Amino acid sequence: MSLHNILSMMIVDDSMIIRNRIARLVAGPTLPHINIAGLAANGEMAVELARDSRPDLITMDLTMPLLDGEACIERIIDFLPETKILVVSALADKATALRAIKKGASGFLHKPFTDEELLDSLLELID
Amino acid sequence: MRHELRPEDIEVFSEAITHFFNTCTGETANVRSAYLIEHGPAVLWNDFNGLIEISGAYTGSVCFSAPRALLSHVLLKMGESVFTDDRHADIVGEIANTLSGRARRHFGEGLSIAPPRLLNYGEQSLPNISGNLPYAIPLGWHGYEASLVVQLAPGP
Amino acid sequence: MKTLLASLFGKYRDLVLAIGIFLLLDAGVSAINIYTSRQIEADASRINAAGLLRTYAQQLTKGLLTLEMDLRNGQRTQSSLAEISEARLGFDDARLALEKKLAQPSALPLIEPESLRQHAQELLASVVRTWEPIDREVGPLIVNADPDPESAARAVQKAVTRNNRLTQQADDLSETLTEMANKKTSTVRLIQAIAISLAFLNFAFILFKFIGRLAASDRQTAAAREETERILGSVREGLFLLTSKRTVGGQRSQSLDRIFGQQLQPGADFLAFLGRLTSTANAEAARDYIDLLFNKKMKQSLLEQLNPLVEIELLAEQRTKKSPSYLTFEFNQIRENGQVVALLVTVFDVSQKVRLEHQLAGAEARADNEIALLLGILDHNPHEVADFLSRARDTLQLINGELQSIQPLRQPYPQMVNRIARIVHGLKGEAATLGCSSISRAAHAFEDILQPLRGRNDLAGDDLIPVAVALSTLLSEIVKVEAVVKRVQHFAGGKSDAPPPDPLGDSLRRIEQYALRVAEDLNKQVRFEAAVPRLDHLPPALASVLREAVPQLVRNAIAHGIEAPADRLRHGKPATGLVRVELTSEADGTLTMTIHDDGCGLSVEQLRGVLIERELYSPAEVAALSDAQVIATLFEAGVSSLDSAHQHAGRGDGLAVVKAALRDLGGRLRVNSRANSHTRFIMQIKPA
Repeated sequence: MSLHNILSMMIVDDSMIIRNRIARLVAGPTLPHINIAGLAANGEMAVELARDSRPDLITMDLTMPLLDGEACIERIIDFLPETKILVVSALADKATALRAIKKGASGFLHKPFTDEELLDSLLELID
Repeated sequence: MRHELRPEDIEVFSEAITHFFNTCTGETANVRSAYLIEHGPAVLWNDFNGLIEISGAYTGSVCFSAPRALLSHVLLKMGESVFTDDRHADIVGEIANTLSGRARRHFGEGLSIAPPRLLNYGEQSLPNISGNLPYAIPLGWHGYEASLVVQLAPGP
Repeated sequence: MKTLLASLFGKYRDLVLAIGIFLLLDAGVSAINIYTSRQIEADASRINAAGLLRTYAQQLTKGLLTLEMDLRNGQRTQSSLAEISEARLGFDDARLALEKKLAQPSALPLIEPESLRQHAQELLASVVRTWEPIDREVGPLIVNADPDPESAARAVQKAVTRNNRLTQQADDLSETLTEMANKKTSTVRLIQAIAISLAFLNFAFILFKFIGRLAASDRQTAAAREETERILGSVREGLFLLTSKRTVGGQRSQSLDRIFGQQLQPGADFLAFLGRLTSTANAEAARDYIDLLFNKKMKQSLLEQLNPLVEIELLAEQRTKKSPSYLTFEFNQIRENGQVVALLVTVFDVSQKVRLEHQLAGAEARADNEIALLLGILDHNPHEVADFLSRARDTLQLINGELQSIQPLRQPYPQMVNRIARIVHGLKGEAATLGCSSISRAAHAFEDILQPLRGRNDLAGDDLIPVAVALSTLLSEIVKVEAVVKRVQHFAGGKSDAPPPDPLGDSLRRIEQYALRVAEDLNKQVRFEAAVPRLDHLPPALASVLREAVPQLVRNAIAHGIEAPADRLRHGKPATGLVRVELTSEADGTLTMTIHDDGCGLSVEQLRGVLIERELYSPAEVAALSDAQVIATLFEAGVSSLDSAHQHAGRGDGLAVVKAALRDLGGRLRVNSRANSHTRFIMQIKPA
């Protein structure tokens, strides 16, 4: 997936609490070492940050101000085709998930999620 | 189209909220018996109120209303160590978001759901819709009490 | 390689072993053939050598005789001497060769018995013994170029005297050797014959086994194919394989065409087919989803959540009357070596389910719009209806207050549910009496919601959400009727403000209407009689009894007491049953209200059965109850003598409502009944 061994990851969510929670879980012992490359609170910030930090993994909310998650995925995959994106969203309908996957996301996790659910989803992504 | 609200249309929200507490805090929230809010528009009596407004096949709103102390405790359970107003508002917004996602899955695509917004204590009351009375679903968690106010009617 | 070995020693082991043995037998036969030809050669040279012995012995004798004659005739002796010498050397050579050949022990004692060889050796030895004296005489004779006739004569004599014996012995030897060779040949032939027959047997075994196995496997394949066809022919779901080219596979269930309402040919382009079948949005979602399914990197867990082809609606122009209108598709990946090679597609017809859901929703909507439901109230006094409506609203608000304030404990929830059930049942009765059928229907639906909750001890808050919803529905129904009543009053121009001149008569007429409607609903015939004094105004206690208790008791009388017309005729009663309401007042102001019916009466035995059947009491408890006690259970909540709930009876709360209402008024309720004759409920109300 990447030339260097240590994976980097970006967290995109308009809720700071969710961003913090994901960051804390990623830092825990379950996952291999992952660098948090950046946190973004909206889609535009996420695209900028992704261009600079070129993360291997991204967790992505869908309902966000400025640029929504779907458009954001499309833009990022355009210049980072190898990056794995996990959609973490409360929008639980299939059409949304299918659209996100079609645009390049690699996984889908419904909010609210437990610690295990997030870790499992990330592990599946890294495999 | 359906005209009457069915029990499962209300149960969806109580399930969503208990599911949120179970998954995010690992502790069960107890739903008490639901009742109707009878006199006038529903007054919000808690510190933080997250509202989602619904239009389309059904119109109305769903509001999660909780005291500050409950939310602080939730933040603590989720591993937060900062307890500013912002964080409290953030978590109420997140809960409202969860409700909106669940509502969309239950009622289908024909529903348009506005992004959650916060109401300030004492400043506003729920927008009233004619006809049906709003349902209040009290929720006990860790000795605190929060409420879910569901006000839905078939759309015009 | 490994797999080849595995199959060599696995399923085909017998066969491989048999072929191995066959080859071994063949090799054996060949080896024997080679050995035999060598032996025949060796035997021939031995027989030949034995013949030479005889020939040279003869030649020597003849040589000696020639020599003697030459000597006697004084002729030259060179040629006879040479002949003698040649014969002697020849004999020795043959002898030595034979000795050498016979000295070797037999390589295969089975084929060339040792005894025969030793016998031949002995024969040869006797030949040699006969020969040696001749040889001794001949030896010195031939070293001399000019042999003396004496020695020649001696030699001749020796040779002649021994010649016969020698010939005989050489013949014997020759015969023995021939015999040996013959014996050997026949033994080898036998062995050969056995080996060849073994090889034949083996070949037959192989053939039999192999063909048998082929036939068995053919049979299995045929059976499997038949089974597959049977399965594909009988499953109700549509089954087919979708190839990675998105085309339909060859094997498909027969139900497929019925489910689609048209042919889906093997090899057809599935996505194009889907595009004709359902909306563009659905078809596009399906294409995306199928693309994901063929992507081997996609996680199964993710895919399971994403299937968009669930309960999809088929395009109207694609449906015939009989064909399904809603389908659900399920996809299962078929993987080979990690690659997704095809999808197993299962198609379910979910039209029935979706249609039922729609019908249910439609029925609710219809009920909502049926103005006819509201028209019933026009037969009644708007004041009474308005009065009932406002009381009903107050009652429901009380329930709501209870829902709001109740503590979430195990005990209060069931108690509250029972309380609500009683109140709602009372409302149902009143609403029906006043022609508010939409309200009585909502109340009946409310009871349906409450029924499964009753008797449960593990009620939690979220179990009660349907109660709140039913409460809301009932309340909104009441609000709707209230609005209608208000407009009716308005329409009447406020003239209806004057109080009714005969309130008791009005009430009883209302009850009579109700009684006739109940009877009609239950296919019974009823005559309603009232024997009451005329009253200018109704005492509040009496008004309450007329509102709540009397309708309940009248309904009971018709539902439980009065029999169906045919049953009545069979019991020698008139087809039309009688329900009679009497009111008497005593000097002290005590009112006695009697509801009498000439129906089947209370059956204590049947009641006992009901108590046990509904598990309200154990058989032992029921046995211990006196008849009076059994009758008394009628007044407990949850007991009804009818089997199933319909709108007019059977929930088992009617009498409990009556009892509660009377208790509130400080009254008494008695019952008196005789089987097949009558039931009479007597209510006594003391003045306040």
